[in-house]
Amino acid sequence: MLSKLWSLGLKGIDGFIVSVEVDIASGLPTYSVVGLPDTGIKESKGRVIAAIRNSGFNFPVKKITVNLAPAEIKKAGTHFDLPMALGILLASGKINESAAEKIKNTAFIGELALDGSLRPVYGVLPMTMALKSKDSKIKNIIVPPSNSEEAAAAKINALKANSIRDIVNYLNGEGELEICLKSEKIEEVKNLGDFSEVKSQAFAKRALEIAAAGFHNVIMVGPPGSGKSMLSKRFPSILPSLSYEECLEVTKIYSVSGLIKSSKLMSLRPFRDPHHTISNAALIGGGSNPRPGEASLAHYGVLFLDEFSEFSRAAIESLREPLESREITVARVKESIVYPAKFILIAAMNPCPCGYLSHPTKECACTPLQVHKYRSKISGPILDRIDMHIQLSPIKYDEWASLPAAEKSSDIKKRILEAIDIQQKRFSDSKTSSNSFMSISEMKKYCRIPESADRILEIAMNKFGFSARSLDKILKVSRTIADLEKSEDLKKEHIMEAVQYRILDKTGDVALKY
Amino acid sequence: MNKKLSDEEKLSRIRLNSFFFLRTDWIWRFLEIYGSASEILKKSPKDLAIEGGLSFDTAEKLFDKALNCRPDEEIELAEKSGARLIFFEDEEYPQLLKKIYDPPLMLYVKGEMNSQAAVAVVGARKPTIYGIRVCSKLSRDIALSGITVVSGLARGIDSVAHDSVIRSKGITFAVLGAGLNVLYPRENKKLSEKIIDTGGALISEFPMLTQPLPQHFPRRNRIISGLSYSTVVIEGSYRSGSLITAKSALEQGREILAVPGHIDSEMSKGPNKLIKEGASVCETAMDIILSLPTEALCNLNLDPKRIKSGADKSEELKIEKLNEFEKGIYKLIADSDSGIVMDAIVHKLGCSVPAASGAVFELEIANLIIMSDGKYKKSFAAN
Repeated sequence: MLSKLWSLGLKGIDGFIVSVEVDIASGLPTYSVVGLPDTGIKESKGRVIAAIRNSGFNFPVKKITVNLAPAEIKKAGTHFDLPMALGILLASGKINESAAEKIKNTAFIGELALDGSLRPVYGVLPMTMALKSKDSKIKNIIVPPSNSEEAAAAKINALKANSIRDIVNYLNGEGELEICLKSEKIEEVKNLGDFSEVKSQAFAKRALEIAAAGFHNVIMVGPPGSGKSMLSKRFPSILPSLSYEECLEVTKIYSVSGLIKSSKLMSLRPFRDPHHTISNAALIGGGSNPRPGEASLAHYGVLFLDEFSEFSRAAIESLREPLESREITVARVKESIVYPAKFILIAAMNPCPCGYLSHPTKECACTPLQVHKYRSKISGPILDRIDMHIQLSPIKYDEWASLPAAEKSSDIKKRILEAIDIQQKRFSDSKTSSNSFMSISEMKKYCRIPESADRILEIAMNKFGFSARSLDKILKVSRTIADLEKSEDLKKEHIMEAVQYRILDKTGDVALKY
Repeated sequence: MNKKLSDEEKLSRIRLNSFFFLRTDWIWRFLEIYGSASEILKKSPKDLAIEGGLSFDTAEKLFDKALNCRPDEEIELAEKSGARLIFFEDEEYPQLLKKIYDPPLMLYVKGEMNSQAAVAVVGARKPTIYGIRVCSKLSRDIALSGITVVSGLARGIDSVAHDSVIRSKGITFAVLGAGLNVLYPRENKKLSEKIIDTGGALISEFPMLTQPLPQHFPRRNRIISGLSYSTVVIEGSYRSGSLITAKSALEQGREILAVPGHIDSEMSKGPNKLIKEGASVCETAMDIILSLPTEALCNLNLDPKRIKSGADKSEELKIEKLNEFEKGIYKLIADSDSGIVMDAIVHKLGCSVPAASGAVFELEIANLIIMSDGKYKKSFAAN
């Protein structure tokens, strides 16, 4: 007997439809799975046999062949357990013929426990979303209970099933499965801290405001205790919330990585702060079964790299691609996968190995050569790709005590939202979403250098030795500053301010000597 | 001893020079006794010990080192890296250096060694902003007067001195504590190239590949002071190398000047001690010029007005052009001891970040301030 039902596979962060075909023929009892399954799927044999037996069915002692089509795409994951088990039951006649219509319209995913109950799996949202493609006629999906809300988020009929027995009863018309409706639940807003808690650091706050408004990358340099981490942790509090499409995209990435907690849609901008011992595969994604890295997990959010210069050189350099093209391509012999990686990079580092180089009271114990070596870990190309460099300095107690409470995050956010509004209108008919993603032709159009600034820009270029890419970044940042001030044209002041956010470009050999 | 050296004698001198654990006055004594370096090398350690009064151990080491030395290779190395060997008897050998008690047998030189009058400027490796400011100003002024500045290419004051002379297109000599092929400290490679480009020289007594060991530096310091009429000490702690230079200047009968500093600063201990012991106080370049003997003063480009006030008119002019707000920021930056960050400017003046950024940019473009280590500092550059 032959049976055929639908399931789903994952490629990168996108799903595709897989048809699971089971053939049971007489012959020596064997069980084989074909269609490029990985070891995880081959191992499922044990689970499938035990689950079928423990659900009160007989496992056919015959020659069983399972095919996962399309057979040329690699497949991985334990969610093929359920469709394979049902395929065997269908092919051995345990399910009524009347179920044919239902089976045609339904996809199955789920991992089996030995007692026949269903366990949650990874990547449900992206797989479910594959059912929404134009040529798909599948309307329903049967998933393990704890994956149901995730599946429902794709606006598909998601049916919760507790065990393989429930599903057989449902297919035979002897029982019903509960439909999970589209979840309205969204992630609760965590208390991230507020910018008003950070006194002083006006320069850094202003820089972060610009960064949030124009999606610019930032590197902060400052001695320990100057507030680098404190500011970065509060940065998400001034970021706008995600749109529904963006939520889905972020949730897809987290779903594929198995990081979704409490089956809610990810509605907050991600904030990822990997430790500096991270490998570059973990940072940008990869592995023999490719998985998204931290850079993709920070998609639409913040990638915070504390102690930036302590990261391995390879890891730092691997950020070049996502910083430039805003996506990551993981190439393997048989396939290449693209993960999105539109994040704001916030890097923080000390000015020197001991940390106290620019400290107002403490002495730095490093030699100029040590400082040079420490800084040269961050190569020119990486610095070029970071839009803003800012210096922080710890505040003295008497200054700290005398300062009034600072501006609230919500007030800052208001200005940022207005600036983002302007950008959305400007880029309404292009793919660009923020100033930092502007193409060269767009820059020509929107970043016209005012005549009064032409000369100073030239002097500045010669004096500070900015590269062409730095100049681009300066203009993009100037554009955002202008947007924050609701100014149609770029003005001299905007460019002058933007130049101040390139401190690491300016400190050349001068810093070494004095 | 003013005869021309034969080639063979030159090779023997190179051999003798390769042993630098002995003060050169010993070697000069042996040269007097035996007539030439080749003769010395024909003797045995025992002869040198008995007739010259050297300890047998040291004499043995001297022979060991001198006979194992490869003078041909040494000459080849020097030629390859563009250096020359100047022997005591050569015309080019600095007259002033000849007069000291233990002049080097020979010098390795890269660049030109023409100088009218030279002054040594030495000081701390880790100077304060005060030291940097003073050093940069003094070096610039003496360079503008046509005086050569001699220093040691070390970090800190030495580098600042060389750098500000180069910026004023003056001549500066760097005397190294290592072979010319072992540039130390490495980060000063560019600076050393500029020294040669602007008509100065890199000088070393040590064979080309000698490593910069701590014991080489006192030996080098005697050349710094020996090349100069006066030695100016800017900052240095009690045990600083600049005090060794001052001591050798004293032994050589040269003038010593010290720039006074705060009494509570560790870096002022050295110069203040020198002043206590009788060194002249150095406040402006005029003090240094006045310390020179008359023979050195001819051909100098002296403009007493400028040197006395030590001021650069162009800076004042630039400041006049600023608006009130920019002047306020400039004052804040110029008054800060070790530079100031943007935050502090904004905090102290109560202005907005964009406004301060614009003003700071103007100041930077006018070369009045520089950004270094994330802080805005007063610029000391002469240009």
